[in-house]
Amino acid sequence: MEIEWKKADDAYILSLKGRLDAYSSNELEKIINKLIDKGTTKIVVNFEEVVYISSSGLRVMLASLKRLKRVGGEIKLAALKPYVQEVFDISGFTQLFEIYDEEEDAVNSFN
Amino acid sequence: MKEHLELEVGGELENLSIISDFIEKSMGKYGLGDREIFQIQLAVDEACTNIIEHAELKEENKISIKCRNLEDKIELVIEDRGKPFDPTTTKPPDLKSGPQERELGGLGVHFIKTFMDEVKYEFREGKNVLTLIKYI
Repeated sequence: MEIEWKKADDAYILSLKGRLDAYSSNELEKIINKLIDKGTTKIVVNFEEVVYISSSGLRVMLASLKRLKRVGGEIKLAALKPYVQEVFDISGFTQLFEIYDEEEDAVNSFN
Repeated sequence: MKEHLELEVGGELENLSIISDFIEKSMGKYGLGDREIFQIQLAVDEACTNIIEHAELKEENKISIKCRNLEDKIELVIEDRGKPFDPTTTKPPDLKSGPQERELGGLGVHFIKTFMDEVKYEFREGKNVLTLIKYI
């Protein structure tokens, strides 16, 4: 999986590309934890190029949401593909996260 | 296409993509559509992730995955020589609590049960044998 991140005002945008399985989830968790350790409270994850997600990917999203909520922060998701969206739906995760069609909308929702 | 297809891989998380590619190609050969392929990939990936993370496989012991097309159903048999673990008896995950109360585990087996039509487990001859069936 390729993971890129950039800053937009005080939010970080993570763009993922490829498969989010247990192997790549470990890598993603390290990156998100580093951002939170540095004091980041606003994160957007762009799923536009994520073709696959397993429960390990969901676990990282939930763990990050829990950490951020404790410090008044939030992790928001954007551009989920239909099969990925279905995995969120059957996990009851759609209600836990703010999910946007476009990355830009997710970023703007912080303002 | 009734061809039997088989893969053996070592129990490392980086091999999950090899397993997923194998399922995609095999199910493609059996003529399944993208949605069914995704669902089977997810079920097999979750089963193998559990083995890799919890079964304490020895290095020389591989995970074996066998696929068969039985006309009206696809059968996948996943075997390993790790610690006995029956995923069919795990408790269902919490799907309703808010973010802070929500527990992190249990979703993998939930996906297997949701996307497959039959899930059978046996511990046989020192091996975990998990059989997943999907009707087609």
